[in-house]
Amino acid sequence: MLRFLAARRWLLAAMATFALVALLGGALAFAALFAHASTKQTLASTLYGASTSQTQTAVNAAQWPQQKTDWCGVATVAAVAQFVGKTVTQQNVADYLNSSAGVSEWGTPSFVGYGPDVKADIARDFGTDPRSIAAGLANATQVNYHQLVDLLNASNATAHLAADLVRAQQPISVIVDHGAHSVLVSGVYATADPVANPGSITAVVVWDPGVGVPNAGIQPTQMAVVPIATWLGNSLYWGESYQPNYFGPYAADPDPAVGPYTNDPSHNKFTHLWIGHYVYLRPDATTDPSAGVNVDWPFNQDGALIEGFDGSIPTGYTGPTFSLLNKLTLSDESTEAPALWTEAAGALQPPAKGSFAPVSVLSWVGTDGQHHLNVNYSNDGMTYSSQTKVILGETSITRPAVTVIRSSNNLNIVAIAWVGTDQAHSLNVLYDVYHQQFSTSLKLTLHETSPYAPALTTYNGQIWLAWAGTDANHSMNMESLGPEGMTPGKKTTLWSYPTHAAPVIFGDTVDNVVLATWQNGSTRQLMLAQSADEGTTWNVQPPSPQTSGVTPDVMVINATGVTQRIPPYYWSWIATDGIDSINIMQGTSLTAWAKPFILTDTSPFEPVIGYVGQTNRILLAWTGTDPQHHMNIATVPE
Amino acid sequence: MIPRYNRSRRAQWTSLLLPALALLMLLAFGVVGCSLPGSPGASSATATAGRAGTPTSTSTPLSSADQTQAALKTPSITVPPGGKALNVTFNEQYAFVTCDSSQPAGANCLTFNGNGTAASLGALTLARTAVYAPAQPGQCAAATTRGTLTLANNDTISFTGSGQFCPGTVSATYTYTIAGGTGAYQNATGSGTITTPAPDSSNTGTEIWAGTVTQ
Repeated sequence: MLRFLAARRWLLAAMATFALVALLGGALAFAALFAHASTKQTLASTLYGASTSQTQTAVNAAQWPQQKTDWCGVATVAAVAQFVGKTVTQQNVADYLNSSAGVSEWGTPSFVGYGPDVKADIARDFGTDPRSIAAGLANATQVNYHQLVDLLNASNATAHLAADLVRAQQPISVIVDHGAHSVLVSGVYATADPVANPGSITAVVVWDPGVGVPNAGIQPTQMAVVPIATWLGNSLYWGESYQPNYFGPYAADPDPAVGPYTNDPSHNKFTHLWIGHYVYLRPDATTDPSAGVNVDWPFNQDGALIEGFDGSIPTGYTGPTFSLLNKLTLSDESTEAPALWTEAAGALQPPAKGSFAPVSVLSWVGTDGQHHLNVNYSNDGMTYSSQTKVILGETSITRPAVTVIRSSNNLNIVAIAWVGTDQAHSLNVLYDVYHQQFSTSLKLTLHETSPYAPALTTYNGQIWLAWAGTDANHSMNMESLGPEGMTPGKKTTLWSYPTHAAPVIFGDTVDNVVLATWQNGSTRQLMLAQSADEGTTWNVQPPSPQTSGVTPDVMVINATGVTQRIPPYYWSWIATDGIDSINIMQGTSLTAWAKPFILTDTSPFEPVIGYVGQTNRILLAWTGTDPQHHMNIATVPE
Repeated sequence: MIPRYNRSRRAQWTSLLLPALALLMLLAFGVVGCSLPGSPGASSATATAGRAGTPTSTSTPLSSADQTQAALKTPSITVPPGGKALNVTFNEQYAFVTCDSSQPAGANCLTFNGNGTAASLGALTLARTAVYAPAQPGQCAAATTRGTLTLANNDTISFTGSGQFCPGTVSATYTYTIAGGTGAYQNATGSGTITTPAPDSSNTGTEIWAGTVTQ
């Protein structure tokens, strides 16, 4: 063979060459594979949106960079105006925002600390807030603009931003840097149609008016093609949502301080319009529901007008709306659902003796290793002081139940029930958690056991306990415990109605019945029954078409003492929609229920519902899906 | 002169080698020319039919590291003979405090306490106060500062500064002047700039010193 090859040196040389070529070619192809892999985001990307050269011309015409340290938003407005052919300077924009014509229909907040910066602000912003920028854009371009507040996440907001860029074909003013800065985004690079396939977006074209101004810019060059991972991950862009950006006691980028979106925790207004969300200013399409709406009003990512926190909407508006919860995330965490008692229209107000008159009581199992029981109360339904929190020595495997009963000497007494961590999982009741009637709480441990959480209610002057039995059907049981919860009495077992989880009972003082709700063990449908004879017989309603992943909660408002202007019957549950959405449904009777109200909030456990008469608000409490499982409390829009 | 045989063999070699080299070049240029970001030959695909997007060359995206480096440009400082550069970034805590009666109503008074390391001086501890003049909407406010830098050996450097605080960027800039101190810096002189960019939180931040000090 060697001789053969030696005799044919040309062939040998040719083979060697081919080998070399193959080797080099293979190596190059291999390198190319990795080169392609590492740069594939840019290789086949196409620019969608506004022309880069026209944006550059507009930015130049607007005499970028921003001409004052607080004019980042102003500079973006001037550049957009120039882009659409309007000769507008930064000074023109600032003058308008400081004129009476630029003021919102709700006025301007008083000047405190360092804000508001301009009269057009509705927040005490150190610069121009989103409403100001929208107003500036609308005035400068003579086209209507609105705030788009994406309530979900940065990816979703980026997808909507890309769609608006493709539709509008003009640069868009975007608030970045956790609310601290405004930039223009003129386009996105994508490997496919970014509207139909937002996941194909590889980069965002960002124009920074702060470049060249000390402490103002967020990128080294006026225009940068920012990789999508940087855009979504770096807090200078949308790696972090809108934040208040505190400077000592002052927030540089707070939520509104005037109008129906006012955030004022001192008055239990916890809702955030901008904070925690992603905001940009979009020109309306002629077909948008927003097209005829005053520039002051914001819209969400679905094009629905975000209602004022008082339920207000612009006069004459008939398009879709969205209500933000007045939600407060508590510092307390729980491994289970909370239990909630509310005074449900002031039935306990005022107490005949003493000053202990809670409007609501929360109880929960802590995230400590032993799962200790916690109790706290509120005088307004929303705020729960750490000073009133009680951490009991008792521990529980599931959420507790809580109720309040008026004692024989007219004191308000908090009682809780729970399933113990003993081997049998015995049911327990603790009466007078806050030591109003006795110097120590009274504890009853029943012989009954349950694998699920119990339920408590007050009815006809007695405390009633309900639980799912340990039989195969987990049948619902109900038993009276006397006025102090220490005297087990008549027990009823509903053998015909298997439960999938814990039942809930509610003393309905409107219809003078005890209501029981549970989740059908087979179909997961919401079930409701009422008993007018203290649980001896039950009138079971037809199963609801709604299904729940967990135990539902039920509540009936007794309008005594308040001017009730909302329906009296409420059901809350977790939908079987795969994402555990919290649902609420209101009814004018136990058989006439409205369409469910689906919250964007989710929970792995049952949400609990109540009513605060003094503010005429539905109250909802739940354990969040955040990693720490913080508890949340919210007033629900009517 | 080249023997015919050899010419023939060479011709055969060449006839094989040239296409191989051509293939090699094709592979090389073909791969490199369309893939490396920022290469002159790199270009984007044309716009999708029906889309109004403008096809342009794909720029090289900025990496986070690039941006950070670009953002941290170090000012150029001329150090006088016998002097030392005083270039240091302090990590600090700040607090709003009650102004004394000598300050006008509406002024904001703050304290700053931080730590940093200067290449020429070693570890430094910063303690200073600042007064921001009463704020007016849309305007930067005059600001003054004074305080001390403490070296690891407890020598101190005293300084004063004047400048402005701009709410729009939540940042302050000063020109500082060194006026003595203690220990080896008893007669110290020097000058430079102090920049406090937007704070990290309601009570923490950084500040950047760029200047000189002469013992």
